[in-house]
Amino acid sequence: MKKDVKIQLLDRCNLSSHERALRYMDFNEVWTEFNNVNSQPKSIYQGILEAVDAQVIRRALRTVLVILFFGVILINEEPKGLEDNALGINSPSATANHVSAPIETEQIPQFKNVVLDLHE
Amino acid sequence: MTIGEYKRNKYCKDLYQDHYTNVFVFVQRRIEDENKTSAIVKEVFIQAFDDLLTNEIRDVSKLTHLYKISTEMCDKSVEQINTRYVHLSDEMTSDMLDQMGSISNRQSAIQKLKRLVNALSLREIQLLELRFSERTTFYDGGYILKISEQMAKLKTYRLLGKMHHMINS
Repeated sequence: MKKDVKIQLLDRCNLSSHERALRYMDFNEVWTEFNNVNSQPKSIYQGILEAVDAQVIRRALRTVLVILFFGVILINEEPKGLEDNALGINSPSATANHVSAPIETEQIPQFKNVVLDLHE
Repeated sequence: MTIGEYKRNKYCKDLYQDHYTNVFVFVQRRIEDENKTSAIVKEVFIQAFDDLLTNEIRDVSKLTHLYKISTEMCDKSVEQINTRYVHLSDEMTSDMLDQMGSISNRQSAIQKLKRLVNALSLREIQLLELRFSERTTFYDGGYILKISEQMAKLKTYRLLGKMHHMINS
């Protein structure tokens, strides 16, 4: 509201009586105008808003936000079982190295002996 | 006309006939001009038909909802014409003074009260009008001005207290 609105006090009420007010009463005119306003083509945005209850949209948005909130928390949490493995023995990369690395008998003397024994 | 259309028409016609004069007088108190009032009241009912046919108003009466729309429309109109009329009837001033408590010189108090009302903000005047002119409850007054019932009560009594202090000083 603008601040420069002039307030004008009126001691004597020049109000129309109910009978005088009734002179302006014309339901058919208002009803026709109401139907004209409602029959005007509306934008897609207005149509969507009217078709779907605003409360339904609010609920859906709230649900999506809650799911996103908990989803982010769950994604950021590290999986259990790997988190306290300081040596990285169980880590996927460590396991892969163990599998792919060739076992060289020269590096393990006791195995070398076992192989020799079998030949004998 | 289908049955649905007939029902809609009848519902709106009843609403219009039941509350037209009350809304007209409500708007005229603020706008003064009869023709402008008539145009605003027409807009009020078009808006009200739209509201009441799509949503059920449960918390307040239909008339209170009509007053709420009327207040919004009047505020828009007042912005354009830059003048807001306030009808201070003898009954209204008398009720306000009664609510304030002990007043020594009543005639002088009425003159002071009028000067004080002239210096109030439009929002404060609206609170007083709804309480002492339309005689709405604080709940309805809060609904019309889009504030809580407690806030309407608090602001009205604080305002009366302030005015009482200024009248007695």
